[in-house]
Amino acid sequence: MSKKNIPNSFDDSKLPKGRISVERSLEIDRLMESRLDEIKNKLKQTAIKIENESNAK
Amino acid sequence: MKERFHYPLPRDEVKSIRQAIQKIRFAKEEYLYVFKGGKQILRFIGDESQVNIPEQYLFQLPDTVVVHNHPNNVSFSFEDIDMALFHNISKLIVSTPDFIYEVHRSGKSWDINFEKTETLNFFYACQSIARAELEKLIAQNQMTPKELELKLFHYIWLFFFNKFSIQYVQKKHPK
Repeated sequence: MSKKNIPNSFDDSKLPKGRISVERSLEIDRLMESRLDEIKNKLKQTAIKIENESNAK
Repeated sequence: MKERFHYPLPRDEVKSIRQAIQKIRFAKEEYLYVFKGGKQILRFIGDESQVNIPEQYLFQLPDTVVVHNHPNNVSFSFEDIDMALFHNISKLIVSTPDFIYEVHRSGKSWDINFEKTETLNFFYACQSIARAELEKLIAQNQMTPKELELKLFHYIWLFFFNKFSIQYVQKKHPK
């Protein structure tokens, strides 16, 4: 059995480089806002499906 | 494990989490503070994209508040959250030039484990749906592909932590 690696790094090297302005960031949040509840509900169904598939194995 | 370690700096004059957030907000390298009982117990400097903690300091992380900075305005990386969950950090804060991102453990442990296949699969589902939803804004010419990448992790964590009823917030710096 292999020894589990203990995470030891706050490694952000895979995050994108660059910077978004605060105005654009908030504008995108406003555009997304009306869809958030629908997306969260969709993900609740996805989570149930994932758990059911896992339990079936 | 990362082999290029960042060894701790001496504690500095910062006396509160709020002060730490402001002090490292515009830094070009990543700095990391560890607070326990409201007091600064450890401080590290990393490089422009990570802070690696040597093994002998990891035992001090449970039940602490950890503050570090991202030189861009991007939310937590997967590895940030993995560190918080694995070491049972009670609150993880990222300070960026324009925003503060916070995720707060609700009880004495997170009860989320990325070693469980279903948790990891749910993370991937959040990633996939967040990307698909943001791509709709690109299709409507309301955002650019670069902006998608910079906002993606915020939406992944917003959706991911919602399932576990864990508080995740993006907020502006106080004036």
